[in-house]
Amino acid sequence: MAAAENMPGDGSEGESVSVERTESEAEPEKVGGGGRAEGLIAVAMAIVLVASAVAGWRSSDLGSRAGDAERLGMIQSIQQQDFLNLDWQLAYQEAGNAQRYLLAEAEVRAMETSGDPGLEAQAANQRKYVLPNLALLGEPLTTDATYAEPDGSLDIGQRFADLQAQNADLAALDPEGAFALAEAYQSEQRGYFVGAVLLALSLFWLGLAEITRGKARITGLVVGVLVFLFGLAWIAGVEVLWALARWVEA
Amino acid sequence: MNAASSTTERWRSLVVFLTMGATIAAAIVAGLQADAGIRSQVANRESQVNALLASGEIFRQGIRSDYDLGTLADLTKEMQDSLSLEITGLEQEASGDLDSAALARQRAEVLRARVERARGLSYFYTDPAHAPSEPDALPNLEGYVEASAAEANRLVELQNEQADEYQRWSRKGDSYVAVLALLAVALFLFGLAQAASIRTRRTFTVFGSIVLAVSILWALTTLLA
Repeated sequence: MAAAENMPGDGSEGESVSVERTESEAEPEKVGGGGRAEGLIAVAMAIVLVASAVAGWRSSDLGSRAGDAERLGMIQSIQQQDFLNLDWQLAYQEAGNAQRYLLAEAEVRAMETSGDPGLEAQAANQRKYVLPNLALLGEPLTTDATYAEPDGSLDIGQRFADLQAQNADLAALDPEGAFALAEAYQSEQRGYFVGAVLLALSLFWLGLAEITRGKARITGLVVGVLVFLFGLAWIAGVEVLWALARWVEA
Repeated sequence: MNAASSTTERWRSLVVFLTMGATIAAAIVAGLQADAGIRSQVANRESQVNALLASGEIFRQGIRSDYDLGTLADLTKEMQDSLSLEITGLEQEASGDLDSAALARQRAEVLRARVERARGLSYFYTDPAHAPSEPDALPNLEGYVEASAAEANRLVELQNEQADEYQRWSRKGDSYVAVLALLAVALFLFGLAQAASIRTRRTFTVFGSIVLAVSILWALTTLLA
């Protein structure tokens, strides 16, 4: 009894021989078993392991692609914010210049109607020499009527929108698109994880087939192969679905 | 003899079964860890984007406040100058210096024209929410400051939420990594159990099972947290 429990290499070789003999005597009794079945299961397990390794590589590849897209999205977000900041700065700078012109123009108009010859002469010179230069500085808010609000104020928001529309570099940036692409890769990566779990499950059933005998072995083998095929189909489905989604988006 | 062999075989089968269980648990936990990693990555990115938007909004609001308050300051100064010239004109008129009084009044008139135009350009006089309710009252500056900070505050709040979300998923991811390490220990113990003698095999199997159970429990706790 004790001899039967000892393993090879534990110092009781004679007793371990008796275990081996017992196992070899049991060989012919196996149903659905034997060396051929064990070899088949071993090959199936090797195929599952190779498929798992490939799925792991692809999953890692998708993670890298998602990381690249996120990085691009972040860079573009920073560039976009830089452009927006510059456009706001320019819009308010122009508004300041336009304001200077509009106030000077109101001043000149008041001098012109003051009835004082000195002030009128001063106004005439200002209208001739100062106002045109101020108007030039305040362009296009001083010259384009679309930037004038009915209440007399300046439509700085509209000017900002126009500056944005004119900026070709800004229009070329699409951080949201880059983030959406990253999320698509990440979703595909999640799909691969489910596939990897299915492959691990098939490995479980094939392992079970390896250690059992008879009908249990056949059941384990069949279920293992089916789960493996399902896992493969799942991964292929994920790959095709996301390739289609990317193609449609492109 | 057959009973002993059967016991040995049962232990071997148990070890193989536990090894496979640990492998599947490792596959699932690896998937959860990767998912937590993706979620923390997305939250981190959102947090950074919101921080960027908040800084942009603060920059924009700074420029805008500079413009709005500058306009108001100039307007107020010219209003005071105009009033001062009016008073000067009245005083000069009272002292009999009529020419100087007329000049002072004309200059006051010119300044008043600038003030009226500046009112039309000022957000504080054109926006009903901030314009003074009475002619001599001041615009609603407190309301302006509150309103101008609202969007930046909202973005900062969003950024903080996303940063918390990132921390939460990152901690989960860390826990899953620890669980994976424990599962590796369990697999190592099961591997030893397969190669060891029956008594040692039992010991390794029991310890391996305990480590496996703790790993699964930790993974479930992390998942449900």
